[in-house]
Amino acid sequence: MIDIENRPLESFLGMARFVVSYAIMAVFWVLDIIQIPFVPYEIFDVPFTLICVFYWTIYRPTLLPAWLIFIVGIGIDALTMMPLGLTALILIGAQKLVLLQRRYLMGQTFIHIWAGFTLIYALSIAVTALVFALKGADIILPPSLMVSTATTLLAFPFVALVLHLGHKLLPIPETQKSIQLHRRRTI
Amino acid sequence: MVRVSYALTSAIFLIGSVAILAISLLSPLSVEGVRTSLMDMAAPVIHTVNAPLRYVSDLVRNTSGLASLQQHNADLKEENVRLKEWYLKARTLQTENTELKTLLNLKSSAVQRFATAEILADTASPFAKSIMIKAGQDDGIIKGAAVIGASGVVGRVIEAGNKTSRVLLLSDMNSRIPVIIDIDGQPLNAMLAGRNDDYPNLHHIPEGQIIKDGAHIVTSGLGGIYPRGLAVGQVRLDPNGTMHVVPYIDINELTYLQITLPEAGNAVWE
Repeated sequence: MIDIENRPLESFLGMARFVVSYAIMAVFWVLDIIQIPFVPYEIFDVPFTLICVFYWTIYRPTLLPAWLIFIVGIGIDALTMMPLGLTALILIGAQKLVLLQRRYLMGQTFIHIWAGFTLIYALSIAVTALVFALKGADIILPPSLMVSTATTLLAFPFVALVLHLGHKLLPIPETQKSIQLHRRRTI
Repeated sequence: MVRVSYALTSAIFLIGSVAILAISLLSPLSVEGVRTSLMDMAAPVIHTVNAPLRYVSDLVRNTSGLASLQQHNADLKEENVRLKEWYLKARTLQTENTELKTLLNLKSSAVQRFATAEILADTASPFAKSIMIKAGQDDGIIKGAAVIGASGVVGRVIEAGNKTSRVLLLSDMNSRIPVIIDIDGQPLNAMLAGRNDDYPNLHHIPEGQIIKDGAHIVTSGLGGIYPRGLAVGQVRLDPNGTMHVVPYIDINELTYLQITLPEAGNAVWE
């Protein structure tokens, strides 16, 4: 009886929890597009969306389906003057790479996760530089790249922390629930 | 089955991204419509998000400026005295110019018209330097129009949507501006090329040409995009002899920009 009465409320709360995570990602998406006026661009040039894709692919891959990443990537490209399709390619490519190593990454410490992101970020820079080289027939690594790389790697723990707080609000998936139940029974 | 379909969907979108990227690289004009449409659609959201950020930015600037206000005031007073002298000289030269034009029976060209637009967002990244402005084709803005700030050239319009446009900044590595360097009153043509940082370079300078520190740079008008005589920046020589240009404009301090409007006949900057 109590269950029936609480079901709409539960489903509403469950949905609200997902909304929080998507809202956090939307804010990061906007921050990816615009620059904070009073902060030098190289300091704030952190690929927030790439961090979101990396984080959620490890801890909740169903949250970011490929079609959503594709739309988000195309949006970033269209609004930041990057070649259309480049960010979408980087984000989906990163998701596929992380999915291949997901089981390994899930059991690792945060330092390993951080190192994993560093690798993905380096690959994304390499792909971007390659595409711009194809466009301009010359490999150009902007002078501000060193600063933005440093700030990105330093920002990763903070962005991951915000995503983790949103993650804590998410309802536990059914598969994970059954695993937890099985563990309890075994104990 | 679910895993296979997930991998398949992912692969399809990956291939789709590569295909769009290839089209975008091989034929940029074919995807321009998509870009401008998305820009127009996202403009209200970006404007809403950017409004409080700009407010905080102004607040930070004003607060941090309080400490140096006294010095700034003294500098402005000194500058005002110098500007008064220049004003008198300019008036004299203007009178002389009008008299000489009358004597030569010179036909005056049409006066350049502008549209003024608010900066919507700074979308700079290490690989591309551009801004979005809140004016588009509905306001008469066309692709290729020159964009000017309060103290000099900002860049040019590279994409014009209905309500918004994208401006390629002079610091972008794809930016090329034909300029004149003032060398002790003698003009020297050169090309200002962006490097994706704050200080563009000067190209096509004759070998052995000596350029002094502080030389003024203005647009030459060659190519027809930028009107002649727009202030661009000043030459700076590093102690090791490396030369670069310090633009007069600082994009972070600008809120509104002027965009040249198309007009029949030859237009001049006045």
